[in-house]
Amino acid sequence: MFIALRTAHNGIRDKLRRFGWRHPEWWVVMIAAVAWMFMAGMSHSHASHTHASHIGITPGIGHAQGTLGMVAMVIAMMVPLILTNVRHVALSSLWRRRHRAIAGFLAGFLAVWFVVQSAIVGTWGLLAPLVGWQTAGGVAMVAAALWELAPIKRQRIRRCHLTVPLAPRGWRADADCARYGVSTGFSCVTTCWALMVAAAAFSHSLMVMIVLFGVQVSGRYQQRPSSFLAALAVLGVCLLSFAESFPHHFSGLQ
Amino acid sequence: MSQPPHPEHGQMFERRDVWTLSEEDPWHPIIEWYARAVAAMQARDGADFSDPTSWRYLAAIHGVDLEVLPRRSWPKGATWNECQHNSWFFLPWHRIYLHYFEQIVRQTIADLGGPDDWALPYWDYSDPDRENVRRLPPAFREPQMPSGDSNPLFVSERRPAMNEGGELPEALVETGEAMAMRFFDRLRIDVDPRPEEIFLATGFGGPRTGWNHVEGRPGVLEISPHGGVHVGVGGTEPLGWMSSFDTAARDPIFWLHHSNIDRLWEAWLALGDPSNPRSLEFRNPRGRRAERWLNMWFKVGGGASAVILRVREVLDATKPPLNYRYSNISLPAPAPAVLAASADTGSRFTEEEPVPQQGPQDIFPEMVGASEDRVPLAATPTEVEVDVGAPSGPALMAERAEGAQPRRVYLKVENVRGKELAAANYLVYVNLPPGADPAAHEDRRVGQVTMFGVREASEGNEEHSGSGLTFSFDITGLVQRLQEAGEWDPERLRVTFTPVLAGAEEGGDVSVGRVSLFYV
Repeated sequence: MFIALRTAHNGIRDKLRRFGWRHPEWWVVMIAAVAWMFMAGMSHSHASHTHASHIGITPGIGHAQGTLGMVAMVIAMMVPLILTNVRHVALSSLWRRRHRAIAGFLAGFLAVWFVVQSAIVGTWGLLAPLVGWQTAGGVAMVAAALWELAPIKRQRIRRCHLTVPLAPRGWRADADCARYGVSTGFSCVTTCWALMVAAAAFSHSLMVMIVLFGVQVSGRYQQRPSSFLAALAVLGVCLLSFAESFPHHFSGLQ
Repeated sequence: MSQPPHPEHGQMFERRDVWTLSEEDPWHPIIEWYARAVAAMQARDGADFSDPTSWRYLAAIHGVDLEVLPRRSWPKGATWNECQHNSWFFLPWHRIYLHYFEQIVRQTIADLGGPDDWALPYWDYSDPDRENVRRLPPAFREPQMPSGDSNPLFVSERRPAMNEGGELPEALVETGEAMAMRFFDRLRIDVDPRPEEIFLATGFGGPRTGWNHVEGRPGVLEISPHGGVHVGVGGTEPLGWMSSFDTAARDPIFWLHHSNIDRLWEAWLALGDPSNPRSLEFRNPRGRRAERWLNMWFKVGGGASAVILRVREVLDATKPPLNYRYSNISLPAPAPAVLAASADTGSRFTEEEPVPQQGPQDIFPEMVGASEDRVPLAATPTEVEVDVGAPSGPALMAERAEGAQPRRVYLKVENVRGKELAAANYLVYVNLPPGADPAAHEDRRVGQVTMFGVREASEGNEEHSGSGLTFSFDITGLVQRLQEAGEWDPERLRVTFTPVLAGAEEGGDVSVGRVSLFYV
């Protein structure tokens, strides 16, 4: 009995070890999953609160507000888009350094996005009350849809696939990984900025987050994604969110 | 122009060797009708190349410079910039492309009053026993046709020596390394199909990818003779049409070159496997993962003449819709250097029994060393030394495992980038003795790096990221031989790049991002 248990234990351990070898990015996926759970939890608690108070959804005050929400949004929406880059970093590093290399790359990448997303959220916080959430949200929605149709976006998105040579050891290896993270972050920002503005604007809606995330994933991993469908998806889900937030404005349509 | 004929009634077309035709008559009717058709198709170009049967439209299917012809200026529905390279779709896509081209030329010839059974010739430049075959056929070098008209087969945008009757260097037309490959889409290891995980393996036809226009890792046939002949004809200073993806198909010799590459695919399949004649493992991709390859479809051309074909529909060239065969698919004997280099890589030229395939779950490449800095690829030989460490992960565990198989060793030449070429190809040597003449140590050659596609793959645009090209070589056999001779240093590796068809000594800005070593 003891031997059987030990054999089973060794078998599971061996499988896990091999899984870790094959998928060195496993812990990055887990971090992104936790971020999504956090966002879902926030959305649920927000919805419960608004439902209980019968005052309707409070648009514009979602996950993007607050440092923790902003961090969760960036990790959830952006980190899954760079898993191939993470794998490139891991598989191009000496075995004992591969998780350290991933960490360096992620640090560079997230540093860029935290700065940019702070600016987006800060600007949103200033502008939305001035012009009204509906106007600001509408502008964000249209801008995101138009950006999806822009030829320059197709060009920018290919830069996200860039691979670079990494020094194998020492401080140069760490610096190369971090630098690669920063350059990937910049490429990502120039590609996804409009969707992330829309995400900040509609951050109260998990549904919007999920659809915008789907558009990003499709753009990143499909060789020739449909710009038209992407723009349509952005417009559709944002309008749906508008309809939910302001049912009286859309009552004529129902 | 009337509709191209579709050979649905079983008419078989024969593609013949252009040098055999040229020896009969430099202006053999097949060549002369080709020239007249090219002239007619060039006359259809117009200002915007919108006629799908025009010469420039056909060339643009392979590639266009987006700075010269941005997408907004393309004809409606144009399938331009579509050529598949560095991919397991390289061969089937070009087969479909040639089929489309051949139909249009055949119909044009028929419309001009010529025969209706014209077939595209091929340029077999690789036979060392035949004189002249490494030169351009005479009809492609003469500025005028016998009639005194301008010769559309002559293109001044070539390496001048080629138009003057010069020969391609032997190294650029080698087929031995490609023919030595046992597998189509990998070397001998079977790993997960994720692109990042198969980065070590490129077989005869190219690595498993999705739709892939430019960047990545070429298969062995794509390196040589394909890439070598492109840059060998086009040259590097100045860059001729054949040297660039975006202009290559404007040179009429392009089509005969690719006809030969297509023929080499047939020849490779026909070789069989001497160590296991019943095995089909080495043939075109098979099994569950091959479905993705077989079902991939490509649309080539525009208007009513466009063709849409799946890979599975073009695997047998003798069946509809293709209906063609080559007059000769025999191959020259591989050079001794190729035999030595492939002696232990599971090549079909060895008597070795195939090593049992390891399951994908057992394969984990481990990097054990890499160069610190970029390595210039110049007009003179360059060398780089790599510090190699002992494996500490899967390679070490595999070595200690019961019944362990011999370790396999892979050399990877990563991120080859640059805009100005200093040579056509580079021969890659491992652990050449210091100061030694590479030509005297062909047994240390592990393969070639081609410059064809490097410029395009280095440019970040809507088609590619700018990562450049990457090459990988199985050097297991060489390492074993060096170990047996006591000349293998497990802590240090020296890699030498020797240019073929080098230009001016100071020219070129291409470099290798990194040279790395992997144990599997």
